[in-house]
Amino acid sequence: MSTVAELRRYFTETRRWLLVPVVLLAILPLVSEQHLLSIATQAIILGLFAISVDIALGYVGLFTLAPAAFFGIGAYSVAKLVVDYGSSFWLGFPAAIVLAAVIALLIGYGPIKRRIGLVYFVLFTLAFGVLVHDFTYTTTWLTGGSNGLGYLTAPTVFGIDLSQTVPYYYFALLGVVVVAGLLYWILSSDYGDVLHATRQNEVRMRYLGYDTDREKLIAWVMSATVSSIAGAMYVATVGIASPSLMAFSLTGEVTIWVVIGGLGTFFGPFVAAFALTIFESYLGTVIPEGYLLILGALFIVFVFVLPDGLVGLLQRWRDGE
Amino acid sequence: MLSIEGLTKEFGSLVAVEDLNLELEPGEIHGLIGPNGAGKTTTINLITGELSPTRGTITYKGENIAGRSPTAIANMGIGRSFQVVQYFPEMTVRKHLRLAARDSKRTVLSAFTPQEDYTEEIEEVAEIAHLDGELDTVAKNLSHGEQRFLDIAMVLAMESEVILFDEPAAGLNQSETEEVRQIFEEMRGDYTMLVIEHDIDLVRALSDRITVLHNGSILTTGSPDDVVANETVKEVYLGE
Repeated sequence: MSTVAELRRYFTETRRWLLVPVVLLAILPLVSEQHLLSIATQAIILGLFAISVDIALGYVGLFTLAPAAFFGIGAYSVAKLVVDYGSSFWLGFPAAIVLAAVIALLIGYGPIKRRIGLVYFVLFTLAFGVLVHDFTYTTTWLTGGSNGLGYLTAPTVFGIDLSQTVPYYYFALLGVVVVAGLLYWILSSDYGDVLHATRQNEVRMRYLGYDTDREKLIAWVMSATVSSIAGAMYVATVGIASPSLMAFSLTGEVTIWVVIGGLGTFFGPFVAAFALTIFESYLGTVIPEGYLLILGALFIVFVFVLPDGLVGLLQRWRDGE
Repeated sequence: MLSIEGLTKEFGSLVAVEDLNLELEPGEIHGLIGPNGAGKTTTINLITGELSPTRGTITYKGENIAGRSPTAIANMGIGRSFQVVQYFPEMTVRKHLRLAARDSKRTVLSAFTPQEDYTEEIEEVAEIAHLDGELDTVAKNLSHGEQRFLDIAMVLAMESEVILFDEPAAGLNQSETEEVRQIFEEMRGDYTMLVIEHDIDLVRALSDRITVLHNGSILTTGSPDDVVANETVKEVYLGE
């Protein structure tokens, strides 16, 4: 066996490679300047956000246009408790999870149970996303309206001031590794195959005895909940929960990250979100309006030339194609 | 085993199945034949919950299952294959059989319990369905015949007691059809089977009894030789 083939086997058939990005991210503060580290903090949180969208879109085939709504619900849950009620930053996380899960269940149950079809589901989630976004603008007494809710910083824990860039980076990294690790555990079990199979042929799954409505609903709630966790972590990096965190542009962006990374591939969307967020910050200093143009062009290229995304490209490399 | 009484399905003014009475005996292979539009697939769709009957009962294990969902009926032990083969194109044969073999009621929390080992069941079913050399092949890369065998293998892996086959040899060449016959011979006696098939030679070779449907109603039921010799069957279906 050639060395290249051995390398391919080592990196693709074992899961040891998972440690490589974690170690690289862990040593990043040692080699990075503060500004880049702030961007990297946001990038790993947005990576988790992309994974959450991949659960709905890539794994089980629910094309949602509401991810930013759940991301925003997470951000507002933390901001509301900290800014308006002077409550604990940490209490915002369970609040975000419960609120997102309940709302996801309420709005997802009907369309999924009634099997309204792909197009109507897309339109339904689009309407929900727009509704939530407008709600934050108009209910100033609750959400601060266009000014948002701020200013907040992460607290000090065991003498570690999380409002500082490096500590919050490690907090975000730890949070993302734990949540993503839990999701990876679930999705690499037989349950991940149940979701994949439901996307590929729902009718066949029903005749194998699977309650596909239940599985889709679980995936939908799981996706919304993780989106809200990402939003809850993200808000401390910007200091304000504002309507822009619920904007359709964020939904569009995360959807493109998932497609570029590879639908249903778990790590692909994380890598795409991370890399493109870093890229956006660098490009912003050179061509301020260039990012969206390049993102759009990348999206077109991936849809037409590399529909399996970055992970599909790697798989072809592994298979020697 | 499975008893159908007075089963009727109307689509507006069209009566697809009318007052159908059918009894499947345990372990038998029962052929269901008839010209296009006779109501054969509608009958399978009614038994498996794809459609709800307008009237009539379908009794299985002492319960009337008419109108229940496909998921509930599959979990009671009634499996089916499809006229247009249904599979998961991006998954290997092994994963198909694993999904079919595992308890479908186990959901997300099952990820935190030990994953069952179905290797023995999977290999046994793959051997019966002539797929033992293809376990790690992705389904979309199988030949059409192998995809048909996979459809059959999935129903076997889910340990159904009653299996309904909708044209299992459709689109297969002569040697593949012979393989289907061999697979059914391997299964004979272990399952109760209802087989819709247009290949009359295959149905004759397989079936213990044959029912002929015409315009949604039963024309006759009997042994393969009796049915083929029936003058009315010759006239409306066999074209002799």
